[in-house]
Amino acid sequence: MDKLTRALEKARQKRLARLSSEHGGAGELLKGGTPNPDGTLPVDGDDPGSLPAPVRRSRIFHISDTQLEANRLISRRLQDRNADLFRVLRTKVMQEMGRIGARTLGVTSPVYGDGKSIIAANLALSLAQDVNQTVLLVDLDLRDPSVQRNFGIDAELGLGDYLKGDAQVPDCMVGLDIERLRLLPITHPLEDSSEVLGTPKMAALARELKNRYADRIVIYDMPPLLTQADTIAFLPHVDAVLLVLRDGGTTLEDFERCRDALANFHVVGAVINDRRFKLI
Amino acid sequence: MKEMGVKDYISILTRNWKYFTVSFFLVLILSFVFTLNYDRYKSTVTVQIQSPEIAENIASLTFDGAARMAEALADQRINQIQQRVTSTSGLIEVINKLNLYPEDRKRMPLAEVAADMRKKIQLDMVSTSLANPTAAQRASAGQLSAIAFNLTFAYDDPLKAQQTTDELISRFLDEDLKQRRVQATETNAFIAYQVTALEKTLEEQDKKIAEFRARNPNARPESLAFNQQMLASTESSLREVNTRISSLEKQRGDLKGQLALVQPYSMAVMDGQVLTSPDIQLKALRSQLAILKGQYSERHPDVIRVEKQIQLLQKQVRPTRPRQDTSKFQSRLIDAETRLKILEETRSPDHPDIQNLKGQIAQLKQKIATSRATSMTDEMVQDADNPTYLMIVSQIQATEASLAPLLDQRTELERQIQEYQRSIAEIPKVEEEFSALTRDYENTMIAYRELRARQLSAEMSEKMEADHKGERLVVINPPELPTDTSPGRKMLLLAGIFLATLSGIGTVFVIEILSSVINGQNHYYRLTGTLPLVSIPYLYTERERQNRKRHLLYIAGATVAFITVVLGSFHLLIMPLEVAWTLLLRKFGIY
Ligand SMILES: Nc1ncnc2c1ncn2[C@@H]1O[C@H](COP(=O)(O)OP(=O)(O)OP(=O)(O)O)[C@@H](O)[C@H]1O
Ligand SMILES: [Mg+2]
Repeated sequence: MDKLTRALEKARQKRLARLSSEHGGAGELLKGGTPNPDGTLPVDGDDPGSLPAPVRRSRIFHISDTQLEANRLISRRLQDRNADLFRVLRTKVMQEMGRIGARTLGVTSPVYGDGKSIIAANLALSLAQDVNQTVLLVDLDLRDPSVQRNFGIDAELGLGDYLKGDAQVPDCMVGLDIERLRLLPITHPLEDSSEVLGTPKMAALARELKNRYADRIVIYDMPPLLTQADTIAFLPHVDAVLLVLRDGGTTLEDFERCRDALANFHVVGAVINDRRFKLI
Repeated sequence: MKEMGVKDYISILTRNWKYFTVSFFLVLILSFVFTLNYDRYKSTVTVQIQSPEIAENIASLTFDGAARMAEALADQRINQIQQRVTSTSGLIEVINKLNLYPEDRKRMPLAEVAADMRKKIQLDMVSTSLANPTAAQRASAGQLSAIAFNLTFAYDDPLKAQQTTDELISRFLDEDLKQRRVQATETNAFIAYQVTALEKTLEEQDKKIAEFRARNPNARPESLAFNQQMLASTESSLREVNTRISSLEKQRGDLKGQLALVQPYSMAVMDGQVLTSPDIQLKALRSQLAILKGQYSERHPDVIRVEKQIQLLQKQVRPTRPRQDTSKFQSRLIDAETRLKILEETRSPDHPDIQNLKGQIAQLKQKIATSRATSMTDEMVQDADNPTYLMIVSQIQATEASLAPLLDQRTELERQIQEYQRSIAEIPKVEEEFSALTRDYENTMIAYRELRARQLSAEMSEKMEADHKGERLVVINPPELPTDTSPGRKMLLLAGIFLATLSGIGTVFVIEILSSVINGQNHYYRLTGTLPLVSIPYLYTERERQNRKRHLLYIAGATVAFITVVLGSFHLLIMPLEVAWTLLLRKFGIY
């Protein structure tokens, strides 16, 4: 606990320092003629009065294509075979979710580094490209948060702040200059976060995200299923699960254990990631 | 679960191409090193077996059979010689002479080294048709049945391999020569022994024939006609003699009839009676005595005188015996003899009828003989004084005198006839016996002649062996200095490449089997029965792409630099590259 509080403290100080220094940057972004006039920001403003904290406006980050490319987030590209693959994935996932009436999707994998974050982010980007969908990508990997890193943003508040009770959910959300995509990042890794996902606070978060933003699709970038105990604890709060497997990496044993663990949940399907060298 | 398809196997290979490459090159390098260090050289000599003798002996057989027989014979002989040449002692001689296996000899007893060496010597029979086309041609023309064999020796030094093969084959030829000479001598001795044995047999058979001839002088097959002729002429002589005999006998019978009518005595008269003969006188005296006795007493001198006279006369008059009629016997005899003749023409000589007749004839002849013997003495009165009577008697006596030799002649002729008949009857039997004897003799003679011919040729071939002219193993391909290992380095390298490929594939599949990770969509499908939603490839960033290019360039550059350095230093420090290249090519048999 000590460690956690210390980390949070440190993060806060950092954030405060950055807020003061980046004030101009955000303003410049707004000034730059690329505000988000469409519905996303006002929706955030419709916070129910029940929440005690004051309403803060989400920042809007500019995401450059190079930034995305450097982190292998390529699903927004047009006429790109890999982007097409994600569009296929998008369609299939949406079909399946629609069939079972699901609106939240947990992306998980057996172990670390299988590519959950990349798949989740690419899927989110691809979904947001579809004019009918508003997407929220939530980083649940407290130990190794990657949403912030992958999108190259530097949010002030994140899930950690919510968990600590320092911030409301809407305050932690981040807007981008990509239409219909919101992020709920984790600003700093949380050590000793093994039981966090099983806490009532997380359950409340899941409920809130599901109920308040009924038209949104929520994608959770989850921790590995087999190496972290509370991943399973959070699974009841998601409507559907997408399993990422690493080609030539995921062992059959792990795969079997995942299937066992996911036996009682809606699994929309699996993605084989990092398909290896192929001639045919 | 889906079955594995070709596509899956290829994807397994391509997925694990790194393992494949590593294992492939590892094995390839190993096989390359092995090939360079491989030193097993084979030197082969081809020897043709020319065997005119065999060709002669079996010229009558079909070519196929002949070839097979010749092959079997040669095979046997070659094997025998091989065993001699590759005997431990023989090989030890070779080892010492050529200083083979210097290393092994330090570690092992020589006998074991020799045993190892024996395994490296290989002998293969090659049938003519395969050996070379000209030989096959000649063979099919029936000119020869030659077979060849290859003698091969493998050693780790080409020169030694050649020398050893040379040494071995010369020993082989020597041994062959020696054996054939011994064989020729033995054959000769054996044939000589057989000749002697046959000569003895011939001698015995010759003697037997001579003995047989002595035993049956007339009974030679060629005497049949002679005997028959003789029989015929003898029979006609007999008939002649018989006619003469019967005419003489008739004459005698007539004379005897006359004699009976003539009183042997001259006329005497007593008491008014003409007393012609003592019989009548006796009768008269007896009647006189009876009268006197009625008149006178017994003591009367007249009575006594007459009695005395009677007594005297009685002495004079011998009791007469009944006269036997020889002519009756004679006719019976002729009858029997004619019947016998008829029978003999139709029946066998030992037929009971013939035997019976012969007995009768003998009896009759006996009777005739006795009656004749008596006729002369009995029928004639000794003291006859009648001149007529005496004349007739003398005539009778003359007749009988001429009859006697005729009778003797007849008996002799009859005996001869019997003899001839017997000979003629015996001829078939004798002939058989004789021809059997001659046949035996002739057979032995043929065998003897053959053997003599063989003895001659055997003596000749022995002489030829002694003069080295009977050479029949001909080296048609002398052992050459092997230029390449066996199997050749090229082959070894090809095998190495093949093995390397196999080992690459094997490694990949072993790794695939051992690894228990998800491999591709199909694998997933096999596991779950559904396909994954998508399969995302490795997503390259622009930076990675460029890095990769640079990386490859670096690697290529480094490789070129490395090779240049290595080759350069090799060129400068060890030997010029062009020399090394030539050497390498030569080593692999490529020029
Ligand atoms: N398809 C891909 N192509 C190239 N790189 C990939 C791919 N998938 C994942 N990676 C790389 O693998 C690493 C791990 O990816 P990622 O962070 O998405 O995995 P993760 O499952 O979220 O891991 P963790 O459990 O630590 O959160 C990253 O460096 C990412 O760039
Ligand atoms: Mg992650």
